[in-house]
Amino acid sequence: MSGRFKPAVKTYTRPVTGGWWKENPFYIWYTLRELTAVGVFLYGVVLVTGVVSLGIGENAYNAWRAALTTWTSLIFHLILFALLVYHSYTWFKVMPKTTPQIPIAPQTIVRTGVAVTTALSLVIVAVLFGVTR
Amino acid sequence: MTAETNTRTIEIDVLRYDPDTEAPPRYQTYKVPFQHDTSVLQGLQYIKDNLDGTLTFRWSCRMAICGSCGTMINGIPQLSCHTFLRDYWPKKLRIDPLEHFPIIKDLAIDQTDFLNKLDSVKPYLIPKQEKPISEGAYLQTPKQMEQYYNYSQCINCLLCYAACPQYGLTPTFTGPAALALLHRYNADSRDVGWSARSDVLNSEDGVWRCTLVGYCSEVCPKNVDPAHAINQNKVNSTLDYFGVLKLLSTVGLGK
Amino acid sequence: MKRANDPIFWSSFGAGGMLSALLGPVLIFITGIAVPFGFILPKSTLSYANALAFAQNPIGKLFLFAVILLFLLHGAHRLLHSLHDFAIHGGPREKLWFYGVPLTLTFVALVELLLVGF
Repeated sequence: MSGRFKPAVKTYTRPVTGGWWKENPFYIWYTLRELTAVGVFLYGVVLVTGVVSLGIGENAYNAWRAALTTWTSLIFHLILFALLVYHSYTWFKVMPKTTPQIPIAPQTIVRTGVAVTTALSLVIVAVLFGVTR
Repeated sequence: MTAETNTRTIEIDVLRYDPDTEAPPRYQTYKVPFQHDTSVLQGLQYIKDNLDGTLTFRWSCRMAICGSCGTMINGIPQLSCHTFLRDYWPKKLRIDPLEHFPIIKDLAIDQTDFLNKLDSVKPYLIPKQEKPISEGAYLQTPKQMEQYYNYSQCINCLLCYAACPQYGLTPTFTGPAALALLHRYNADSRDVGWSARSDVLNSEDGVWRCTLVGYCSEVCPKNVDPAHAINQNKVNSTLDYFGVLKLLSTVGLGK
Repeated sequence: MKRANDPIFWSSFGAGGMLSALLGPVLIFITGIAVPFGFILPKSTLSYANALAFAQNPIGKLFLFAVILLFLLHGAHRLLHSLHDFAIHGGPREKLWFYGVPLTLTFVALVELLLVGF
């Protein structure tokens, strides 16, 4: 940035490579955290395909359902599940950095987020279990 | 002899760069004797005093308050006075100048960019009215001070800039310390300077360049937590963008 | 200094991130792991009749629309920034693709959601 301070006359500038994210475990975990977005995006696409097939008709929709019963789909969804669990956990882990100065410990925010997610998930599955019996 | 006074030797690779030559930087290895309480800074001083008087590095207080001695130690930004050789022995130590800054000589880097960025955030109180000393001191409650206290602890050591990959990728980024100090003044109850600083905060090189890597807060020796300063202002910047910042009254922002 | 337009995209990124943090795992579990294999929940949970009823319901429609829109926008925003992290330079054209694809896909889904009626 230009300003009232002038740079030194002769300096050596080290090049910044695109590989910085590999150099340090902290950066590696950050990169993994950010790449969970792939999972979020792909699941959105899965839902779009489901909705589109539903709109086309019963046969198309049942074909979509059948595709979900393959091994490929199961492995794919297990990976997505793992990605979204990590996304969820890291989302709450960074949440304290986004709040104003409040007298609540960061750990409390993280634990609350994880607890609410877990509880909500169990409730949804339980309700679905109940209405489909 | 106790373990504390036992003298051991550690090998240190230090990056050397001489601006008076055309040669690129290269590592030079030194064997440094140390005891239990020898800091990396003392190791560097031993090298300069006994092995190689040409080695250049910055230091002053020796107690993690002046911010002069920031270096990369085994690739991690640290204060050399605050880091101990005993924690690396028997492995080798590698000392580089702070990442993301141009090298002037050996371990001394050019801080010009940071100094200009610091200027740009107007790091001083902008009160509603000038208050002469005869009118007495500003009063502030402990709760008001909590809003900005940790951000005021910055010693400008630049470890956070070395840690920040976004600063490395985009050197026009205002950066962690400058933005933390920007927030320090905005959050101070004696200050009404939000609009004076909002151009910097709201710009693409303000808070929006940050992707919450969070390493800045991790390496900060004074627990300033610049990541928190920047990311809580993403909300403020968004409210400002949609013209509703005045709704935010908890820290009296939007003035 | 150039004022950033990031707040717009950051808002949808934030909403999508929160929604996917709260509901992402359980939705994937239900639709991708449990129901297709009759594990805990019966296969009939996602029958054509059930799915149609859900999509025809105004709340069901809104839910599907919100999840699709916000999950896609969240993912796109973050992946666009990841490009930058890997020193791949993205300009207005990349932005157009990264936000355009989610918006297009959501539009397609919206059309289908309306076509199934109420």
